[in-house]
Amino acid sequence: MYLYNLTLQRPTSVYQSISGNFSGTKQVEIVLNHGRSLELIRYDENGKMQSVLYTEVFGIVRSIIPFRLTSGTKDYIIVGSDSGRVVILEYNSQKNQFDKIHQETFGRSGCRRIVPGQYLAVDPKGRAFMIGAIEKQKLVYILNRDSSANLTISSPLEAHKSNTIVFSMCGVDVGFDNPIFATISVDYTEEDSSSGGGGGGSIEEMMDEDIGKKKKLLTYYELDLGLNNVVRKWSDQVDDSANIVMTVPGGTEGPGGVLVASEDYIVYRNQDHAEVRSRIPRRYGSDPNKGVLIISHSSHKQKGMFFFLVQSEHGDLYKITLDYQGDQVSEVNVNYFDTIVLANCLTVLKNGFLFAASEFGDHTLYFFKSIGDEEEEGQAKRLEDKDGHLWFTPRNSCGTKMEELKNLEPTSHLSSLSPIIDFKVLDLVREENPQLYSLCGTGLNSSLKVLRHGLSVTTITTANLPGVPSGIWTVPKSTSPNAIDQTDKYIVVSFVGTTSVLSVGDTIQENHESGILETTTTLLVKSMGDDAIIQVFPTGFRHIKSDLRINEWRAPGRKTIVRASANQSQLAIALSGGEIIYFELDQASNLIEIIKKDLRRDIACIEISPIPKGRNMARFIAVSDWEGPIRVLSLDRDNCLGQVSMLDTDKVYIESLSIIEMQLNEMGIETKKSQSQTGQTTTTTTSTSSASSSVTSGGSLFLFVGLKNGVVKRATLDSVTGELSDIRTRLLGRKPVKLFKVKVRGSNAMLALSSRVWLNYINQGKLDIVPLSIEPLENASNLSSEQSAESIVATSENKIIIFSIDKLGDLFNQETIKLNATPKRFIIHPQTSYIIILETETNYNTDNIDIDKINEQSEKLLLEKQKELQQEMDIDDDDQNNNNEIEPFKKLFKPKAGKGKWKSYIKIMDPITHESLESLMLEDGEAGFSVCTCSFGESGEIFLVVGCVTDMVLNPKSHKSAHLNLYRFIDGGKKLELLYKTEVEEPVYAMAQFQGKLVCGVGKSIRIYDMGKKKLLRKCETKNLPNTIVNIHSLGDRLVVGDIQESIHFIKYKRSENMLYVFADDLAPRWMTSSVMLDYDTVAGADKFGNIFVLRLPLLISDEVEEDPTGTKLKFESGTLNGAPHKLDHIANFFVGDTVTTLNKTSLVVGGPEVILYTTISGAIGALIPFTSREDVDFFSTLEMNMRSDCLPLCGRDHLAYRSYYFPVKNIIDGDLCEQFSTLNYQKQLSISEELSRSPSEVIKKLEEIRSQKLL
Amino acid sequence: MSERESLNSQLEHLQMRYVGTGHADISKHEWLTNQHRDSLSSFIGHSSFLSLFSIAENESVGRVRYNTLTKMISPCGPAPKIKDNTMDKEEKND
Repeated sequence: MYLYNLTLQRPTSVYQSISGNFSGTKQVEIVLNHGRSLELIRYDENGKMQSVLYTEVFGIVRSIIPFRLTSGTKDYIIVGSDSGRVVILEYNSQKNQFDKIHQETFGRSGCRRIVPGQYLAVDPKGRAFMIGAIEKQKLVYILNRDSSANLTISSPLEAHKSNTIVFSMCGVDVGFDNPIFATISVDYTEEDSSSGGGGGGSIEEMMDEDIGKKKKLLTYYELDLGLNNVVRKWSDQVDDSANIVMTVPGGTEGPGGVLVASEDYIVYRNQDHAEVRSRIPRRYGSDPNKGVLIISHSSHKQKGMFFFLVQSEHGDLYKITLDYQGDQVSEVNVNYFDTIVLANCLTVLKNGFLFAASEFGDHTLYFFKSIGDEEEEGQAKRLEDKDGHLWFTPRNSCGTKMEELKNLEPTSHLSSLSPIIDFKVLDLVREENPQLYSLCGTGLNSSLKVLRHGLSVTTITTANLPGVPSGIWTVPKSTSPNAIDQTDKYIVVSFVGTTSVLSVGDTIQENHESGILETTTTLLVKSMGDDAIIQVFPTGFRHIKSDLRINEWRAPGRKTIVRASANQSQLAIALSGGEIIYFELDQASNLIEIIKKDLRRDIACIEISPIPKGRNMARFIAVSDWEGPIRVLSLDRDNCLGQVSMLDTDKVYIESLSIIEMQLNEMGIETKKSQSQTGQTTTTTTSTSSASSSVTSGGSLFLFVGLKNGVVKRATLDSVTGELSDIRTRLLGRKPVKLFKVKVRGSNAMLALSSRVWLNYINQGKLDIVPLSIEPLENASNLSSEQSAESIVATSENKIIIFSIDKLGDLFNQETIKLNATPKRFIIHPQTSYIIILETETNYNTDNIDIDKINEQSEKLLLEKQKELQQEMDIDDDDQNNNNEIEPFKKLFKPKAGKGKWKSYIKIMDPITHESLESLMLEDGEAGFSVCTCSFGESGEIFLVVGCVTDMVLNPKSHKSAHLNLYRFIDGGKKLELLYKTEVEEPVYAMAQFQGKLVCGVGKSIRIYDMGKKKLLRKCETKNLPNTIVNIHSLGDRLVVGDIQESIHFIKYKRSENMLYVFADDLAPRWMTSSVMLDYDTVAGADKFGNIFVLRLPLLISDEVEEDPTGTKLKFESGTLNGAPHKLDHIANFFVGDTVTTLNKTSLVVGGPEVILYTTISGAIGALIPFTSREDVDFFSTLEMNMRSDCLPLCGRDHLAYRSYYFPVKNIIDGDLCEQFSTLNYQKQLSISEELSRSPSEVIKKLEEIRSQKLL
Repeated sequence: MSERESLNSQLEHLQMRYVGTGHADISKHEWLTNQHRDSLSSFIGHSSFLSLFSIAENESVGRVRYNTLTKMISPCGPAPKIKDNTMDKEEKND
């Protein structure tokens, strides 16, 4: 078996974000680290984000940091990864890719203890950087520029210190003195050498004591630029809980030095400077015995001021400012700022925005409404208790709605599925295409997300029309691309026999003064030349000048016009009978007939190509009769309407034609074009956000053909010779395909309307075709109005719809349904199709329900304070104020419940209305871990079984009791009724129905239960499994069981003897998360480390087990290699890059092949597609092999080694790597494709085919 | 220098250079401590692990990272005083 790995949805969690001017322009850009990929994001002044570049790096990115040379204007990206190398990347905006400009090797690959890559720090003046490991090793590289202004890198200087664990690292701003780097570290030498504290006391206690004694040090490392070495310059003790060190601006901009964040304190430290300490205010409701830990930080610096923004683990943002004179700091001010979702990384951007990369869930870009008023904020609402702790009133709670933000305003989100906890592909709504149901998020952000393939659209308005329109067009106010007002003037709708004109403004109204003939069916409306409009109707056409003078042309004789096409200065019409007449605008803006040609066959479609940049006329016209072929005719004067090329459609009826110019950034095409077009400049600017005029320069021409059978063909039209090449085919739906040109992000795009609506557009330099989540449409046109610059007006039956497309680049549109607590598992009721969700959360945020258990200490404190105030002030009014203040406190009291506390719900949800039918909370302290439906015996009634644990503690593992709860569905499956609980010894993590009974894994034993009157009755058991059962599949007489630590086991149930035997297992230890049966003998599994593997029972053994019902019993008892008697064959293996949470076997395309879908904790969805022919396997493995050697991964990791991280990669070809083929330059593409004896475009076509045919 | 000595010095060099390299007389505690430190640093390096733990414990990723780093200082507690008869204790720890 061979599989092909493809990522469907990229990982969406962000572990780190940095900002800078990476393309060297004024624009501030954000680079995101997704763990295994890098992404470049731009945003506009309205705070709308847009992904510009996404690159898979085939390695684990551990840290990134921006770097700018002294007095430079462009930021580079330094990347610390698991490759044992440091890589410096430069963003190349011309090619829209990251260029590797330096790669320095220093150690072994892998995320190792002593191999640098975990920490990065740069000198604020841009002279050097330090890269550090968690333990011991630190290397400093000096960066400089050579005579031609290229970045140079020195050999590394060592700053190692053995036996130290580093917690944080940063550069110190010392102006232009020798660069200094600061670290927070702990030396564990004593720890290892000291022998335990004698007798008495448990190990736990001793540990606590000892760590308490450990000294945590802040150390300065100085890079002496003169001597070219690194010395430890200064070292001093800091708080034991210190975890973050931050650079304070120095030189002329500030006092220099560092801020050290530890539990409850922010401390300013510098050499030869006394420490300046400030307490971090605590939020009311937080645990008074637990310090406030800072988890993320960012700083902002501008002329004359700087501040820090840090976030605590409760989600509160604090603004830190310093009072200083020269280099003497007198005070550190820490003030509450706002509360947002917990962030992995905060990035304050130069122009008043804040990017918060959430730990889980959507990432948000905020706009600073203000930067906090310290007087009011800091003093008035802060109270101090006896221990000196400061308390403040938070405005909202982390994870709730953002309505109460004071200083920040969210402007846009990057949607994220992270973490996907459970996932299934089902068609519960009966929509023909399956939906993807995924359980996402944790705590207050928990949700069930329903994903559908397609871009989401926002409907602006819909209106009913008197009849069914036959066409719709828009006319812009001005045709000149440089006009300020690019909005549209009219919408023209044609019906049978009539035409109506609507003018676009604040409202859309009917207009009769446009000069457009309203008593006829319209075939085409197009603006031409100097703001003139051309209207084509069956008996002729009107040329309406900007001053409303009308020139009319009548069709000769009794012929009627059947088709027309026009661009800015050319018009072609097709008459019944097969005659084509071609017109051009002359100097005086009059349409002049140039040539007439009789093709003698009825014309089905006619299309003039758009005018290339810098020319007055287009050179080609495509014409076809009903059965094809499509002919491309020249419009040059010397060969006017002479054929230059043709495309055959195998007699399939042709519905529509469209020639469109698009700005592709596939390297091969670009290079090829520049080779063929010698003399012509091919500027390839890809600044998608800049004005449309610059984008439309130098694109490639494409001819699209929509066919009656729902297929669309695309061919590249050579802009010089008119030759058609590189033909690609794609099935879009059941209905004939109509094509309409629209604009998306300022560049040309095309809508293809079939039984679904598809958008063909340029996404990150590649031509993408994606469906839109909208009802089927019949006609469409681009619409630009004051309200929305880029929307689409379309008709569907007798309706007119105006909509806009947002979130371009997303493959799925999401529907989010909120949940109460962290979800665990969900299943579908087999009869009613209701979704049953199990939610279980530990250390939960106590909701309003728990308000009685208000944190007493805070309460007391508050009362005390109130009394004090009362005494001090002695004014009645003030008393009232305080009473008012108490209310919001109560609402926001959401202390965490603490370890070993659980809350758990069983929820039943209607899949269509998303209404929650039942939300059953389990008893106090009870936590559900597994859920399954089961029908016992012959009765056919379906019960719900939930595996519950009471008072469970995670580490070290313990629990009070464990139960199997049996519920009966009542009220048509909408409600649950607890029948009874059956006590078991160990928690149950996996269950399945098995031959009319329930099979479950109780700790390390597998047990079969039948239903009794008062409890479940144990029928059969085997204890021969290693640790804990985490998943069970039953097939026939077989059980396939996954152990938490020891991979897959095959178990045979002997009905005659009522016994269970483990007869086969795996040789490798694997920490299972999920598994799925592929067939009776084959199982695919995934583990915590990110491996996906396929195991198969050898055919011989399978037969033996099946056919030999009695004789093998003895054989079963003698295991091999401390395990089962037989071993599973290991037939495929692959490393994904992050923890895989679920596996599913499903088909995404109706009638398409089944694939294995996997999801990861970072929100990625990927697929493994089985190959069906040996030929394909050979092709793709050769391609992969060549790609491995020719397209080296960005971070310096070897691709083969990466995919073989824990086990050697086997039989799985990496499609993500193969798809990078299109980003190679033409020479490389050519050499690779020659080896495959194909042309580069054939290779790209093949890559596209496998994705589109088998997936989405 | 005899061959044995050079071998020894080579080994010492290796142990100096690669933290965690074992030797013939390594104690169970020392070996375990190294194993734990290796695992913990790998968890920190592969960010998805921290996310996984953070979901399980319902703590912030930052807190989990801090805890993991702190744990690296002394993952198995202090070394037992008497090298014999300590098997039980260590196993408990593991």
